[in-house]
Amino acid sequence: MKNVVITESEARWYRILGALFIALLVPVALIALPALFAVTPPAAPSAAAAKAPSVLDGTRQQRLEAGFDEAFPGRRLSLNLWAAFELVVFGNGRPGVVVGRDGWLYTDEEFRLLDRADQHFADNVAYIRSVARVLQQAGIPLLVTVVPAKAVIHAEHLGRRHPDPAHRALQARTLAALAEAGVPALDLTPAIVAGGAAGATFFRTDTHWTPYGARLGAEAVVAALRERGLASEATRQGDHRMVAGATREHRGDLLSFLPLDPYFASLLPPPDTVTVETPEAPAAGGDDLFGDAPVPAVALVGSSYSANPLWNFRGWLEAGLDEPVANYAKEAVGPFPPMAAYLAGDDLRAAKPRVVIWEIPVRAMLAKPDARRMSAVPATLAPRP
Amino acid sequence: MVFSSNIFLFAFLPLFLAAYYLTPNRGRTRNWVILGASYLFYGWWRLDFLALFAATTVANYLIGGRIGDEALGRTAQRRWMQAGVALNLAILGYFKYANFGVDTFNDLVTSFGGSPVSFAHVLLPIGISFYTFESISYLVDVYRKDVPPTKHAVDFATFVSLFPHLIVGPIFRYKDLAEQFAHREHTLALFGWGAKRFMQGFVKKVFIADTIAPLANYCFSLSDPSTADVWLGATAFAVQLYFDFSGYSDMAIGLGAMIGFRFLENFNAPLISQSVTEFWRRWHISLSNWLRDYVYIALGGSRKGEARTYFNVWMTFFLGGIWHGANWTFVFWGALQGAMIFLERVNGISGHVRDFRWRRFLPATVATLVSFLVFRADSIGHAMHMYAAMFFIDRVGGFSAPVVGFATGLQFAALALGIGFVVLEGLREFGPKLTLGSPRFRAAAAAVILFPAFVLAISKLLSQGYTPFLYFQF
Repeated sequence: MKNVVITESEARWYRILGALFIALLVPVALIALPALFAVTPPAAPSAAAAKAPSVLDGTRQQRLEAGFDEAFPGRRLSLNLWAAFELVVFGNGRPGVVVGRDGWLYTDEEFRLLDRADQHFADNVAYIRSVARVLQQAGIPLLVTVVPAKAVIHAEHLGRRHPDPAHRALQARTLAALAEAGVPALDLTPAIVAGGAAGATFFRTDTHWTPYGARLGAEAVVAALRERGLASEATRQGDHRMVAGATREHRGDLLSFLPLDPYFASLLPPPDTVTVETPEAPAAGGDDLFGDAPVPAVALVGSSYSANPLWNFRGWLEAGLDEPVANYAKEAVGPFPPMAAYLAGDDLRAAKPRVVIWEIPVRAMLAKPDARRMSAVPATLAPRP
Repeated sequence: MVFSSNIFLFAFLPLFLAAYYLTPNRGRTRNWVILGASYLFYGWWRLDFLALFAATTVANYLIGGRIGDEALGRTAQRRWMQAGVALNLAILGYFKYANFGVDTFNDLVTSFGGSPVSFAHVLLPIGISFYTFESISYLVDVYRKDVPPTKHAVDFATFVSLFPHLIVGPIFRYKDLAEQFAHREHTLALFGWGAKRFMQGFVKKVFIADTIAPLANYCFSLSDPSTADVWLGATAFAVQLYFDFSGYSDMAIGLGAMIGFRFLENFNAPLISQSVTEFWRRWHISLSNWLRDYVYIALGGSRKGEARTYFNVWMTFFLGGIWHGANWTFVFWGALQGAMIFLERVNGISGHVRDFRWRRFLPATVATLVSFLVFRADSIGHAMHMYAAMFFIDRVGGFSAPVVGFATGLQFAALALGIGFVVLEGLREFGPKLTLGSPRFRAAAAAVILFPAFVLAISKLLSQGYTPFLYFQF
């Protein structure tokens, strides 16, 4: 096509198209101009210490461009529009969520089988075994509590998409593997299923269990500890009672994968509600003459199922055991990095716990180990010189 | 910056067009505006590498002047041409292949128990493969007297840096554009035609290529893909690559037309080809033309007997493969292209066909998908692992669980749309004369259908973030 030949009959329409193109570009450019001066803040605290952006290596230009994209007018509307399109036409949310029926959402981590899933499973079992061994050498009992998948407990609300068979069999497979490895483990499925008739055990729009579901789990853990002789024998004084707070709306974490608001908010599932129950705080210092709080004899390590105070898993453990529980769980990193951090930390060496409870959501067993956040299990937990 | 980005569409382009059309169209003043904008465009990536770009432009311009100096005599002119070509190839070789060369040498040395050589990683300047090839074509054309050396430095500098084609081609020859630097027609109708091509390319890139990209990437990332996974990945990649690259070329041609340039087409429905030879007449046409004119003919073309002709054909495509990247996969791919074309030549298979035959189309399509696999693979080992599944040797079976869990309806819809578009291209060429209305009707359809699609594509871009062009760092 070197010589474009435009006939007069075509020319009229091309002139219209040219005018439309300019009519789109110029006003939007004028409206977007202030966004050119928006600067993207550093992504993490450490980024602030990074080299200052430079025009020579293009980093300043990249920041300018990122800020422009972030602040661009109409971005939220576009996000909402395409999220609505995918939901209505294909029944899908953004990668990360599986949309069920009746307003139920699930994490796609309980559905999808990742590449090399079997290898990840083996690696994670090996890691748990190493942790159990090093704790055992230090005379510290471990109880792994395996939280079942919401997509299995509440399969009645699944839509077209169902978990891969490997996920459906994962709870049993995990418990069998841990038993074979000699790691004490507790299946929370019977307790959660049995209690399911009396209340919701998982949120509709959140990956996590409700405070009621966390309570069922905690009661099963307490029963298991008593059975193993690992619960405190001290007279229960009822210091760790729960106090019910207000009931409020709860915006589940899975809603972030349905960016429909504000323009298509009517397509969102109705919100969850949650009644926040918190432990009634015991007197500071307890019975100690000088008011110092002793290091709890029970350590809890795990994921956001334990870390987030909203579901109050730790609180229900404290209520059931009637003693404080030290919580080393962390959010957003899964159950393995917090254990790595706990083993590397000073608390474990300063005061040996009576028992370590390790909460693991079962889907984490098929996840790729996070090599960046998981240092090797130490050979010993002897105090450092 | 890339064309499918907010910063280009709503900052750079409006400001450039305003500056361009507000500049009086006298002499070469508007060429200076294009030059300034193009340098800003390139420097947006890295200002430090703009210096390299400017230096090579100046050097090639001066060498071109020497080559065109009749007073020097033919021998000296040839030496200047050879020196210029060698300089460009040396620059390309260093920036593009130094890391590969050192890594390959180190692999060899360590396999014999030796110590690897330490070498600082060389950054690949974007577009270097394109602008060095264009500079080489200018020097050779001046030597061959196909075009006189330009007396206007701004023309040559604008030719090399012209931002519509700077990063990802098409590969231009100066002789094809020389007159247009002196005089260009500017009309709203031509601008509108250019806008149409730009919007077409934008929609192809954002709606189809970018939507399919995650699916193709995922299939190629699997450790043990099944037969179905590999064929899906190869098909998805072929469609993604075609719509990404041809979309970019459409945008380049459209941007050129907006400022009065008329560029040659770079794609002509390559996925309907009925032979590998035909494929290369339709795919990345500017590259295959360049290889023909500056490699094949330089090697002797078909002037030195049959055996030498076959060798020249094979070597041309082998070198074309290496041009695509510094990895053994591209070496293998180029050799494979050359071998297939060689076999077609030996068997008298023509690249020009007047009718459609499934018995030609299917093997050609399989050959295309097979060769695109090694083009996309990370390494030869990776490619072989995938070929084992592709050819039913290993992991024979349907889609694996990871692929089933990953693929979405939208990705498959985009893939189907892309394949449907290719089918339409085929029907337009070989089917019952499918005239989609008169030229006026088609122009009207462009305004009524394409413009809203373009607006939707912009909103999709806003919702998905940034996806770079596949040929970005070639």
